[in-house]
Amino acid sequence: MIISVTNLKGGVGKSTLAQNLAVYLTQKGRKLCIADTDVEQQTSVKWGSVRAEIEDVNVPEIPVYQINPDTISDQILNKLGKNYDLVIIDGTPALTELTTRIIIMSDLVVTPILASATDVWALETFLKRFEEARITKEAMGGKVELFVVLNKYNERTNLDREIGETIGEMGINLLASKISTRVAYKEATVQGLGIMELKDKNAQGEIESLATEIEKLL
Amino acid sequence: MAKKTFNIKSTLSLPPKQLSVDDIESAIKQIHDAKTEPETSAKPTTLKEVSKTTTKKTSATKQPKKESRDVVETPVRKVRLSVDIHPSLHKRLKIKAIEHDSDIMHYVEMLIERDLGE
Ligand SMILES: Nc1ncnc2c1ncn2[C@@H]1O[C@H](COP(=O)(O)OP(=O)(O)O)[C@@H](O)[C@H]1O
Ligand SMILES: [Mg+2]
Repeated sequence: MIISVTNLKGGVGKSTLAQNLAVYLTQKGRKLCIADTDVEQQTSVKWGSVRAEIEDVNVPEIPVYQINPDTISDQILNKLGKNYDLVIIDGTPALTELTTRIIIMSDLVVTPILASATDVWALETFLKRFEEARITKEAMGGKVELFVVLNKYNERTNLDREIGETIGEMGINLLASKISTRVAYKEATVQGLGIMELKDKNAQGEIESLATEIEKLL
Repeated sequence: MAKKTFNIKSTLSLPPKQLSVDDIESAIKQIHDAKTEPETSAKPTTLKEVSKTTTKKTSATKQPKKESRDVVETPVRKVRLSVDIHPSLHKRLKIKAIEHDSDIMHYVEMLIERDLGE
């Protein structure tokens, strides 16, 4: 099973959500790894290295693989896919061939966006590519679905709520779980941890809700 | 004559196929066709697990620190419309509202309703 957390935009929380899903689902007993395809930033690779240094039985290691854009299909399908129940791809912030490849390989695409007009515009562009890839994949007998999740969401802001509603009205699959802006997410990343390993109960509730929603789609 | 059995299972859709690397390559070709995109810097050529370590996890030695503040949930409310307007327009609006023995909020609501014909 392959889930990719991807969007053509950077800074929307792809890596943050990939890491937090990985920690949550590992705690739930899934044998998984992260495949970091962002060769420029390597956020998850760095996160994984920090995590690997933590000596705490309650913080199990999560393997993070640096993926080579040229051989990604082979690496993920033939090597990782055979060793893990679940591969979580931390996506690349571009609309390159690599992005298409990631979509086609995935069973589920989770696209984080921020509640801003520019993010909705970028989402439209991304969705066009997704549709092309989905149709091509379906013609070959495969299947892939996309779900959008609002990150850095502020329920009390008019614009955020409107954008959430608009996405729903555009007929896009929008996950009911929303992720708020919280310092804990930044802290978790630099410490090599997931939210579930920190103390912020509200953030934990968000990740639990998101992961549960996603698990039902698998 | 025996009744013809209808195999309902055969009518259900088959599970999606797992594509092979070759399938993916041909799909990519279909989509990207002749257009050649500048591929981002080809970095490592081998698949290596970067985070792997030999450190033994023994005890709960490290307690990660906490924590950020809460976001208080707000109850369901009316739709709020906020508009940025020029101070001079705001001043005229205030005067006009007072002339109508109303406040800005109700006056604006009335104007909108009137213009939308509701
Ligand atoms: N919900 C959130 N609350 C607070 N900070 C966040 C949240 N999501 C992401 N961030 C921060 O925003 C920045 C970009 O997030 P990141 O996950 O690296 O995005 P991407 O992988 O899409 O480029 C990081 O500094 C990250 O810690
Ligand atoms: Mg990233």
